[in-house]
This record gives sequence, C-alpha cells and structure tokens, in this order.
Amino acid sequence: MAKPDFKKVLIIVCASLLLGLTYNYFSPEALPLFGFSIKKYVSDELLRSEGSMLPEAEPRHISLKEALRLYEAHVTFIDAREEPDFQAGHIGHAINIPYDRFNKYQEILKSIPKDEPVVSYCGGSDCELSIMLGNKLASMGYNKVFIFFGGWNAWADAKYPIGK
Amino acid sequence: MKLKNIISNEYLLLMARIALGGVFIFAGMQKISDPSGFAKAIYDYRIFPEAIINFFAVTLPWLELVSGLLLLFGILVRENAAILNSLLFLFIILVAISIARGLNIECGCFGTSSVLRTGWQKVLENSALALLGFYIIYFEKGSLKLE
Repeated sequence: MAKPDFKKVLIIVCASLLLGLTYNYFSPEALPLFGFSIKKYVSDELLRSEGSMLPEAEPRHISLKEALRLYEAHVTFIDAREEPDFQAGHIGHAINIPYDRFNKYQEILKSIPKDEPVVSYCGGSDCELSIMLGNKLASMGYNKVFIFFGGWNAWADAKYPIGK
Repeated sequence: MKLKNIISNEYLLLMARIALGGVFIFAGMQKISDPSGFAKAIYDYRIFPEAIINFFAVTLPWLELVSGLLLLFGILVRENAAILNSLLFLFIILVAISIARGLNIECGCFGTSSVLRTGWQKVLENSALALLGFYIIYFEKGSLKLE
C-alpha cells in the first residue's frame, strides 16, 4: 500500500482554500473573513420571528427574555433616561443617550454602524423615552432597532447583569 | 473467490468512492449555498474563537466539495480519501465534545437546510464514513479513474 502523498494533500487543501476565498469575494452573500459577530444572527432571528409584518426599519418591541438574548450577544443597549438615573444603575454595558438631550449626546452614535442592532430602553412601563428614542434612531437610518419597554425596572427585578 | 478478491474488487472500491465522495459533495454544496448559516452553526459549537469562524465557514465547504469531486472522479484517490478522513476525524471529535458538554445544537453537517442535531448517531455515521475512507486508502489500486 502506497501512503498518501502529503505534498499533494497540501496542494488540494490550498487550492480549495483559494477557491473558497475567491468565491466569497465575488459572492453576493459574502462574509467578512475575520468579522464574525453573533449580534447579527440573534437580531435577525428576532426580526424574523415576529416582526415579519413590520417593515424592517420599524422598531420592534421585545420582551425581557429577548432583551437578555440580545444582551448576551453583545448588542448595544442605549439608556434613554437622564444621566443621574443612568449613573444610579443601568443595564450592563449600556450607553447613555438621554432623549431630552439627544443633540448633545448623539456624537456617540457615530461609532455604531446603521445596520448594527441597538436596543433602546428607559425606566419601565411609566416611561416613553425608549419609544421616542427608538423611533428617532429608526428615522436616522438604523434598521435593527429594538425597544425594550420593560426597561430598567424589569431588568433589575430579574437580577440581570447591571452596571453602575 | 477468496474474500480478499472480493473486498479489493475495483467496482466495490468505486462504490465506496461514490458513497464517500457523494456525501461530501452534497455537504459542501449545502454549506456553500448558505455561508452565514454555516458560520452560525460553527459558532454554536462554542469552541472556536469568533475571529476565525467566518474564515472556516468560507473555505471548509470548498475543501469538502473539491475533495469529494476528485475522489469521485478517481483523481489522487488516496490523498483525497485521507483529507476527507481527517475532516471526519475532526467532526467526530467536535460532535463528541459537544455531547460531553451537553450542547443540543444543530450539527451543521449539511449546512442549515437540514435540522440534524449532534448526537451519538452522528459519531456513528462519521465513523462509518471514515471506515470507507480507510478502505479506499488501503485497497486503492489505481483503476477506474479519469486520471
């Protein structure tokens, strides 16, 4: 029995690799080679699961459980409350863009691409800032906006990860 | 007819090549048609760093397809059988690890069009295919090929 020729194996592997890279380069479904991000998958799934009737640009309301999934996928959470409230306690890793001072704070948004998912939230059911901020973001061109209406209260009650 | 003559029969070898090559051609094509679904399937194993997942998702299916086709057509048979067996070996380990960790995930074996899950059945299937591979490597005589 002759053994497989390792050199030939290497050639086949390299040729396939090149083919794959070339195909990916021209493919309409091309993936960024080193930029896998679970954010995209979780948010796409949530958009598909229920929001299929909505145009994609419309913000979608999510439950506490869905919010946690997005959080675990490292999706950006935006706290729409005033700074003192934010400082007193917020969803872990969230950034603060007080809706009433949107113009002053919107600089932060420059670091977030428009096709990235974002979650807007505020205090909870007695607070509409999350909806207003969500709509504002959608009108700016963000096409995967989620509104977590349960907000800080629901999050803190569930004892999910917080930041101070 | 002696047993050795039967198992080294060239048509039997050809059938083994068709079976092993065919499975990988199919698997490769399924994955190529949905690279981002395959990337997600790789992610679900929770073993690989995120930085290299897409690279694998883009290139691995082509290795499966190319090797499968070459094996089917009888070109560099031993080499390609060895490549496919290495892949099978890798898959067996990955599936076994995910079973041991209690992950109930889509195996991603044939892309995402099928909803096959990881489990001992997968390990068995892969092992059976690997046996075919060893059989081809061992008995390959260089007949019935396009080369």
